[in-house]
Amino acid sequence: MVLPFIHPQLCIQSQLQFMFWRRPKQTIPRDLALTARPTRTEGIARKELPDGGIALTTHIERGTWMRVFGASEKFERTFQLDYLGRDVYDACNGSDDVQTIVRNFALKHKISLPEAELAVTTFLKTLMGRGLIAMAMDEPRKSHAPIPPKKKRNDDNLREL
Amino acid sequence: MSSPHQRSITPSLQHSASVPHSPILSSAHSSALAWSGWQLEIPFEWRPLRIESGWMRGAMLVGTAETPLLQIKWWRPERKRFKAVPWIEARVKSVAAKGALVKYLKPQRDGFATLVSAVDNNLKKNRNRILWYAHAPAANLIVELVANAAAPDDALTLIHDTVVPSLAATGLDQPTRWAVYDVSFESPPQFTVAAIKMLAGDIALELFGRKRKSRLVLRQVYPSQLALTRRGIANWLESSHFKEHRKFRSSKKPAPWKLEKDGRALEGVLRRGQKRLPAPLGWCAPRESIAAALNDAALGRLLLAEYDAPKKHFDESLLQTALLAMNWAHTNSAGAASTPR
Repeated sequence: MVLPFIHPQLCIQSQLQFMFWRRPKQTIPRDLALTARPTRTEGIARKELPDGGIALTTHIERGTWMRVFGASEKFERTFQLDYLGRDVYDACNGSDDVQTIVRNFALKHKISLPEAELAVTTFLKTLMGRGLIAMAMDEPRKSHAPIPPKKKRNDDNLREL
Repeated sequence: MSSPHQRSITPSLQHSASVPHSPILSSAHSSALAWSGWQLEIPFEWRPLRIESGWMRGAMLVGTAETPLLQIKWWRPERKRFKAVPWIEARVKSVAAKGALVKYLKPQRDGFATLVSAVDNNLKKNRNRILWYAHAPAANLIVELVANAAAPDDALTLIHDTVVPSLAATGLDQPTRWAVYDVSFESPPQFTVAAIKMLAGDIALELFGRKRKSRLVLRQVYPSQLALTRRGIANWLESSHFKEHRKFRSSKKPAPWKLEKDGRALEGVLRRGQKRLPAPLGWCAPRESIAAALNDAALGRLLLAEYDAPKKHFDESLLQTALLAMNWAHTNSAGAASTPR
């Protein structure tokens, strides 16, 4: 096995930690996440669809190696949203927080709050992953240290109060 | 449940374990939770977190997305001569610490003959709980409600002032009410639930009558506009969450059908036929079958119901009754009641 170059001043234990051990995932508490304000990313082309949905076209930069092999610098990717996704996307105006979007969505489509929260938050995560929205939060993190992951609730604790 | 913020029972909580006063129930802030014959009003932000359901016994955990707040357990005694008070006393003795404060209260709602509360301050097991027991003889039902005393004060106040006094039960000779996540059904008397399927946007119950001779499936799919873009309304009738041995046979296609509900005309399809076992047993115990799918555009729901039974027990009106009773507890997600309960 070829070992990657590691600074000789790091002790062996640190080297092994860096190489093999997973770093803790950064998580945000639920109540803080609900106060985030999603904003639509600029520079995205929008086209109305006949079924009430929309098609969003964004330009994505290719990786360095692809460009070295002759691919173009940017390429287009189009995402189609149905009428429900359009409602959520249009609600990302930078001023309404996630909780408000969830409540308005539940009210408009006559579904319960827990189901609306599950559907909307999952969809917002998808939009963020595709680069179609960005999230703004009021409270910046106080330090650059990663937030420790939320401990998994033991299911046995849910059995008996 | 161990709590990192354990505190002893405060005088306000001790007082709260006495007679709960009648609350001013605001339909704008509550939603109905009904299961297996009992019914509660809970704040509309609360939800069932875990359901271990059965007709004879079961358990449900209710709370917010962050923490469980209330546990509900129910039993249906099998003995004919069942005495509630000794059973409840034995139960309190087995689950609560010695010296638990027990009080006999006057039930606030119809259906329950006995209401007992107990405060369990178990320092050994690091547990502070408030327990309520209620017995409904007509429903043959005992319900246990457990609130964690370490929960926030406003949640405990809501449980004491609103939730517990709203506990009600329906008798065995009355339709059984089911309500969860703003979706509600009513099943006919003598029908017991055999299976439940709960998915986001799709909730279904499978019920059987006495000796499993008749079968009723109730289902709601929402939002209906999205559901109908995926599949036609007649195709929704063909899909089912519950497996069965008998297959549907009919010489006719589903026919258009209308039903008047709450002053609105719901449009959909109706399908009639027979259900038979696969060949060569098709002649053995066939069942008459009727199924309907309706689009409630005002609520954005697809209402589906299917009923089958042997010819001599077949009662077509059960299907219509079940469809008319769907969404009896509907509120919109802001909490305001849109239909009277």
